Amino acid sequence: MFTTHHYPHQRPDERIVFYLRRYWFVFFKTMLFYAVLLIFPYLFFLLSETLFPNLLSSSVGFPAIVIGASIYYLFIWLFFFHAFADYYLDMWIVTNHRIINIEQEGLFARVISEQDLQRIQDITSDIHGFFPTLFGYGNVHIQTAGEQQRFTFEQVSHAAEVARNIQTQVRLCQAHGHTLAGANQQAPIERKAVKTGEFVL
Amino acid sequence: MTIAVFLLIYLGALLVFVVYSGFVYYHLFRFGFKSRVVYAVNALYALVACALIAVSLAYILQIDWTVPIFPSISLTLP
Repeated sequence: MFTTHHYPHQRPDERIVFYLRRYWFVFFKTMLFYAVLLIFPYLFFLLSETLFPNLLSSSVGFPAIVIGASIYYLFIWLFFFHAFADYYLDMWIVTNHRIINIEQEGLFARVISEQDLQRIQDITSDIHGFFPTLFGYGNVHIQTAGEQQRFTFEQVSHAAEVARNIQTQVRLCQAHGHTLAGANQQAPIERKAVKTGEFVL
Repeated sequence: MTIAVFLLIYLGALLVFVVYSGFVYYHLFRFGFKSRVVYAVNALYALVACALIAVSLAYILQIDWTVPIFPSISLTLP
Protein backbone atom coordinates (compact mmCIF):
# COMPACT_ATOMS: atom_id res chain seq x y z
CA MET A 1 0.00 0.00 0.00
CA PHE A 2 1.09 3.55 -0.57
CA THR A 3 1.55 6.04 2.23
CA THR A 4 2.38 9.73 2.31
CA HIS A 5 6.02 8.69 2.54
CA HIS A 6 5.94 5.97 -0.10
CA TYR A 7 4.16 6.43 -3.41
CA PRO A 8 4.80 5.89 -7.16
CA HIS A 9 8.27 6.85 -8.42
CA GLN A 10 9.03 8.90 -5.35
CA ARG A 11 12.08 11.17 -5.55
CA PRO A 12 14.52 11.59 -2.64
CA ASP A 13 13.51 15.10 -1.54
CA GLU A 14 9.90 14.89 -2.58
CA ARG A 15 6.93 15.35 -0.27
CA ILE A 16 3.19 15.16 -0.87
CA VAL A 17 1.46 18.54 -0.60
CA PHE A 18 -2.01 17.09 -0.98
CA TYR A 19 -3.86 14.32 -2.76
CA LEU A 20 -7.41 14.19 -4.01
CA ARG A 21 -10.13 11.81 -5.04
CA ARG A 22 -13.46 12.38 -6.68
CA TYR A 23 -16.02 14.05 -4.45
CA TRP A 24 -17.97 11.62 -2.25
CA PHE A 25 -21.29 12.47 -3.92
CA VAL A 26 -20.06 10.89 -7.17
CA PHE A 27 -19.75 7.53 -5.42
CA PHE A 28 -23.02 8.15 -3.53
CA LYS A 29 -24.86 8.09 -6.87
CA THR A 30 -23.30 4.70 -7.59
CA MET A 31 -24.43 3.50 -4.15
CA LEU A 32 -27.99 4.58 -4.92
CA PHE A 33 -27.91 2.63 -8.17
CA TYR A 34 -26.90 -0.57 -6.39
CA ALA A 35 -29.45 0.07 -3.65
CA VAL A 36 -32.17 0.13 -6.32
CA LEU A 37 -30.87 -3.16 -7.74
CA LEU A 38 -31.34 -4.77 -4.33
CA ILE A 39 -35.09 -4.27 -4.58
CA PHE A 40 -35.59 -6.37 -7.72
CA PRO A 41 -35.67 -9.83 -6.06
CA TYR A 42 -38.29 -8.54 -3.64
CA LEU A 43 -40.39 -7.24 -6.57
CA PHE A 44 -40.02 -10.63 -8.25
CA PHE A 45 -41.19 -12.29 -5.03
CA LEU A 46 -44.30 -10.07 -4.89
CA LEU A 47 -45.07 -10.68 -8.58
CA SER A 48 -44.61 -14.44 -8.32
CA GLU A 49 -47.01 -14.61 -5.37
CA THR A 50 -49.67 -13.08 -7.61
CA LEU A 51 -48.85 -14.58 -11.01
CA PHE A 52 -47.24 -17.89 -10.04
CA PRO A 53 -48.59 -18.76 -6.59
CA ASN A 54 -47.36 -22.39 -6.75
CA LEU A 55 -43.81 -21.44 -7.67
CA LEU A 56 -42.57 -20.75 -4.15
CA SER A 57 -44.08 -23.91 -2.72
CA SER A 58 -42.89 -26.27 -5.46
CA SER A 59 -40.01 -28.63 -4.74
CA VAL A 60 -38.05 -27.38 -7.75
CA GLY A 61 -39.07 -23.72 -7.90
CA PHE A 62 -38.21 -22.82 -4.33
CA PRO A 63 -34.62 -24.18 -4.44
CA ALA A 64 -34.07 -22.49 -7.80
CA ILE A 65 -35.27 -19.18 -6.36
CA VAL A 66 -33.07 -19.55 -3.26
CA ILE A 67 -29.99 -20.28 -5.36
CA GLY A 68 -30.82 -17.55 -7.86
CA ALA A 69 -31.44 -14.91 -5.20
CA SER A 70 -28.26 -15.83 -3.33
CA ILE A 71 -26.14 -15.56 -6.48
CA TYR A 72 -27.85 -12.28 -7.40
CA TYR A 73 -27.17 -10.61 -4.04
CA LEU A 74 -23.61 -11.90 -3.84
CA PHE A 75 -22.76 -10.52 -7.25
CA ILE A 76 -24.49 -7.20 -6.62
CA TRP A 77 -22.33 -6.89 -3.51
CA LEU A 78 -19.23 -7.88 -5.50
CA PHE A 79 -19.90 -5.36 -8.27
CA PHE A 80 -20.51 -2.66 -5.66
CA PHE A 81 -17.15 -3.48 -4.07
CA HIS A 82 -15.56 -3.32 -7.49
CA ALA A 83 -17.16 0.09 -8.10
CA PHE A 84 -15.75 1.31 -4.77
CA ALA A 85 -12.26 0.09 -5.70
CA ASP A 86 -12.57 1.84 -9.07
CA TYR A 87 -13.56 5.08 -7.29
CA TYR A 88 -11.01 4.78 -4.51
CA LEU A 89 -8.01 3.95 -6.66
CA ASP A 90 -8.47 7.01 -8.91
CA MET A 91 -6.44 9.78 -7.34
CA TRP A 92 -4.43 12.88 -8.08
CA ILE A 93 -1.33 13.67 -6.09
CA VAL A 94 0.40 17.03 -5.94
CA THR A 95 3.91 16.96 -4.51
CA ASN A 96 6.50 19.70 -4.17
CA HIS A 97 7.96 18.50 -7.50
CA ARG A 98 5.16 17.26 -9.73
CA ILE A 99 1.58 16.23 -10.24
CA ILE A 100 0.70 12.55 -10.50
CA ASN A 101 -2.47 11.34 -12.15
CA ILE A 102 -3.47 7.76 -11.23
CA GLU A 103 -6.46 6.27 -13.02
CA GLN A 104 -7.79 2.80 -12.45
CA GLU A 105 -9.59 1.73 -15.62
CA GLY A 106 -11.54 -1.36 -14.67
CA LEU A 107 -9.73 -3.97 -12.64
CA PHE A 108 -6.85 -4.89 -14.91
CA ALA A 109 -5.80 -1.57 -16.35
CA ARG A 110 -4.08 1.27 -14.51
CA VAL A 111 -2.65 4.45 -15.96
CA ILE A 112 -0.16 6.63 -14.06
CA SER A 113 0.84 9.97 -15.58
CA GLU A 114 3.12 12.54 -14.01
CA GLN A 115 4.45 15.93 -14.89
CA ASP A 116 6.89 18.31 -13.26
CA LEU A 117 5.39 21.44 -11.77
CA GLN A 118 7.83 23.55 -13.76
CA ARG A 119 6.25 22.38 -17.02
CA ILE A 120 2.76 23.45 -16.09
CA GLN A 121 1.58 26.28 -18.30
CA ASP A 122 -2.05 26.88 -17.43
CA ILE A 123 -4.53 25.81 -14.75
CA THR A 124 -8.29 26.09 -15.19
CA SER A 125 -11.17 24.99 -12.99
CA ASP A 126 -14.78 24.51 -13.97
CA ILE A 127 -18.03 23.46 -12.31
CA HIS A 128 -20.92 22.36 -14.50
CA GLY A 129 -24.29 20.92 -13.52
CA PHE A 130 -26.85 21.14 -10.74
CA PHE A 131 -25.25 18.81 -8.19
CA PRO A 132 -21.69 20.01 -8.85
CA THR A 133 -22.85 23.59 -8.30
CA LEU A 134 -24.82 22.63 -5.21
CA PHE A 135 -21.98 20.68 -3.61
CA GLY A 136 -19.11 22.70 -5.05
CA TYR A 137 -17.16 20.02 -6.89
CA GLY A 138 -15.76 20.24 -10.40
CA ASN A 139 -12.82 19.67 -12.71
CA VAL A 140 -9.35 21.16 -12.67
CA HIS A 141 -7.62 21.20 -16.07
CA ILE A 142 -3.85 21.50 -16.11
CA GLN A 143 -2.14 22.37 -19.37
CA THR A 144 1.46 21.19 -19.54
CA ALA A 145 4.35 21.27 -21.95
CA GLY A 146 4.80 17.51 -21.82
CA GLU A 147 3.76 14.62 -24.04
CA GLN A 148 0.42 14.45 -22.29
CA GLN A 149 -0.59 18.04 -22.66
CA ARG A 150 -3.57 18.10 -20.40
CA PHE A 151 -4.19 16.61 -16.98
CA THR A 152 -7.66 16.73 -15.55
CA PHE A 153 -8.57 16.39 -11.90
CA GLU A 154 -12.12 15.13 -12.28
CA GLN A 155 -15.00 15.91 -9.94
CA VAL A 156 -12.83 17.09 -7.06
CA SER A 157 -14.04 19.17 -4.16
CA HIS A 158 -13.37 22.93 -4.17
CA ALA A 159 -12.00 22.90 -7.70
CA ALA A 160 -11.18 26.62 -7.72
CA GLU A 161 -9.27 26.33 -4.45
CA VAL A 162 -7.38 23.31 -5.76
CA ALA A 163 -6.44 25.26 -8.88
CA ARG A 164 -5.17 28.15 -6.72
CA ASN A 165 -3.13 25.79 -4.54
CA ILE A 166 -1.52 24.17 -7.57
CA GLN A 167 -0.78 27.61 -8.99
CA THR A 168 0.95 28.51 -5.72
CA GLN A 169 3.03 25.33 -5.89
CA VAL A 170 3.97 26.05 -9.50
CA ARG A 171 5.09 29.59 -8.63
CA LEU A 172 7.18 28.33 -5.73
CA CYS A 173 8.67 25.62 -7.89
CA GLN A 174 9.57 28.02 -10.67
CA ALA A 175 11.09 30.46 -8.17
CA HIS A 176 13.17 27.92 -6.26
CA GLY A 177 13.60 25.02 -8.66
CA HIS A 178 11.28 23.03 -6.38
CA THR A 179 8.87 24.03 -3.65
CA LEU A 180 10.53 24.47 -0.29
CA ALA A 181 9.63 21.59 2.00
CA GLY A 182 9.92 23.77 5.08
CA ALA A 183 7.14 24.66 7.45
CA ASN A 184 6.47 28.17 6.09
CA GLN A 185 5.44 27.06 2.63
CA GLN A 186 3.76 23.80 3.67
CA ALA A 187 1.93 24.84 6.82
CA PRO A 188 -0.79 27.06 5.21
CA ILE A 189 -1.72 24.31 2.77
CA GLU A 190 -1.70 21.66 5.50
CA ARG A 191 -3.99 23.77 7.68
CA LYS A 192 -6.34 24.30 4.73
CA ALA A 193 -6.13 20.58 4.03
CA VAL A 194 -7.28 19.67 7.53
CA LYS A 195 -10.09 22.26 7.43
CA THR A 196 -11.62 21.19 4.12
CA GLY A 197 -11.38 17.51 4.93
CA GLU A 198 -10.84 16.73 1.27
CA PHE A 199 -7.09 17.19 1.15
CA VAL A 200 -5.57 14.21 2.87
CA LEU A 201 -2.03 14.09 4.13
CA MET B 1 -31.17 -35.78 -12.49
CA THR B 2 -31.95 -34.21 -9.16
CA ILE B 3 -32.11 -30.57 -8.14
CA ALA B 4 -28.65 -31.00 -6.63
CA VAL B 5 -27.42 -29.70 -9.97
CA PHE B 6 -28.47 -26.25 -8.71
CA LEU B 7 -25.95 -26.71 -5.92
CA LEU B 8 -23.22 -27.30 -8.47
CA ILE B 9 -24.18 -24.08 -10.23
CA TYR B 10 -24.12 -22.30 -6.87
CA LEU B 11 -20.68 -23.67 -6.05
CA GLY B 12 -19.39 -22.49 -9.41
CA ALA B 13 -20.81 -19.01 -8.81
CA LEU B 14 -19.26 -18.97 -5.32
CA LEU B 15 -15.90 -19.84 -6.77
CA VAL B 16 -16.10 -16.98 -9.27
CA PHE B 17 -17.21 -14.67 -6.45
CA VAL B 18 -14.28 -15.60 -4.22
CA VAL B 19 -11.70 -15.31 -7.00
CA TYR B 20 -12.99 -11.94 -8.21
CA SER B 21 -13.18 -10.64 -4.63
CA GLY B 22 -9.57 -11.66 -4.26
CA PHE B 23 -8.63 -9.59 -7.28
CA VAL B 24 -10.38 -6.53 -5.84
CA TYR B 25 -8.72 -7.02 -2.45
CA TYR B 26 -5.34 -7.35 -4.13
CA HIS B 27 -5.82 -4.09 -6.01
CA LEU B 28 -6.96 -2.18 -2.94
CA PHE B 29 -4.04 -3.34 -0.85
CA ARG B 30 -1.44 -3.10 -3.61
CA PHE B 31 -2.39 0.26 -5.10
CA GLY B 32 -4.47 2.00 -2.45
CA PHE B 33 -3.30 4.54 0.06
CA LYS B 34 -3.02 3.29 3.61
CA SER B 35 -6.09 4.55 5.45
CA ARG B 36 -8.77 3.45 7.86
CA VAL B 37 -11.34 3.72 5.09
CA VAL B 38 -9.72 0.91 3.11
CA TYR B 39 -9.46 -1.38 6.11
CA ALA B 40 -13.04 -0.62 7.18
CA VAL B 41 -14.50 -1.19 3.72
CA ASN B 42 -12.56 -4.42 3.26
CA ALA B 43 -13.73 -5.71 6.64
CA LEU B 44 -17.33 -4.67 5.92
CA TYR B 45 -17.25 -6.38 2.54
CA ALA B 46 -16.04 -9.65 4.05
CA LEU B 47 -18.61 -9.48 6.87
CA VAL B 48 -21.56 -8.83 4.57
CA ALA B 49 -20.40 -11.51 2.11
CA CYS B 50 -20.16 -14.05 4.94
CA ALA B 51 -23.60 -12.99 6.20
CA LEU B 52 -25.12 -13.44 2.71
CA ILE B 53 -23.58 -16.89 2.38
CA ALA B 54 -24.70 -17.85 5.90
CA VAL B 55 -28.30 -16.82 5.21
CA SER B 56 -28.22 -18.71 1.91
CA LEU B 57 -26.86 -21.80 3.66
CA ALA B 58 -29.66 -21.60 6.22
CA TYR B 59 -32.19 -21.87 3.40
CA ILE B 60 -30.17 -24.43 1.44
CA LEU B 61 -29.97 -26.82 4.40
CA GLN B 62 -33.76 -26.88 4.66
CA ILE B 63 -34.18 -28.14 1.09
CA ASP B 64 -34.36 -31.79 0.04
CA TRP B 65 -31.83 -31.93 -2.80
CA THR B 66 -32.70 -35.51 -3.82
CA VAL B 67 -35.93 -34.41 -5.51
CA PRO B 68 -35.79 -35.04 -9.28
CA ILE B 69 -35.95 -32.00 -11.52
CA PHE B 70 -38.34 -33.65 -13.90
CA PRO B 71 -40.85 -35.77 -11.95
CA SER B 72 -41.42 -39.24 -13.50
CA ILE B 73 -44.78 -39.87 -15.16
CA SER B 74 -46.30 -43.23 -14.32
CA LEU B 75 -48.69 -44.77 -16.83
CA THR B 76 -51.41 -47.03 -15.46
CA LEU B 77 -53.44 -49.33 -17.57
CA PRO B 78 -57.19 -49.10 -17.17
